[in-house]
Amino acid sequence: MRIVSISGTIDSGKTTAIKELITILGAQGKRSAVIVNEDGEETYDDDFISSQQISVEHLRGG
Amino acid sequence: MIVTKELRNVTKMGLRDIQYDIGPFITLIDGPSFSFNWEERPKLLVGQMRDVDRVVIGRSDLIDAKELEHIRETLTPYGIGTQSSPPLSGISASTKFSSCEKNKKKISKALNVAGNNLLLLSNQNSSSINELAQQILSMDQKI
Repeated sequence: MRIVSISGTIDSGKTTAIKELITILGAQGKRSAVIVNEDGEETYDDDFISSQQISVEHLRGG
Repeated sequence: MIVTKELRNVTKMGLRDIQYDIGPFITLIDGPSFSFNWEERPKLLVGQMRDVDRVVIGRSDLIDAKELEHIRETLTPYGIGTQSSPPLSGISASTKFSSCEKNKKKISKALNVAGNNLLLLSNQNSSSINELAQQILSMDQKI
């Protein structure tokens, strides 16, 4: 299992970049899970979660 | 190490021995608002960029060449985007949780992948995110 940390200020494009990475890595046969510490304008919608077969967990107090 | 509720759930599932690799650490910076953020909160940006493996400038298609050069000049003193960029690194670790919720980390090896540590990301050009993904995948191949 590999843990990749992606950080940045709000609306810096973290979720967009993570979704792109998940898509690319998923095409290479890699499964992903996301731990979210902040909710911004871009979200992990249900369609994306089901199509990529990922798990998304939200930390409290982020 | 603080054992959180999520980790307690993992140990309850019987997954007491977890092996994982940590890295890379990536920081995203919004390109169009970089100058404003640098003027308003320089310490925050420096703190976010310190010791990371890659700095990614997002929405780079919305900034002109002059602003991009300004960003490069601002970040160069911090070792970002320099010629001698550090390799993409990570650590491999295993964590065992005892019944007393103490843990022992064993760093087994360091993984290094060469690459530029400043990437430009835009909607029009996905080459940087592809490069980042390939660098992450190549780290796994070195295990």
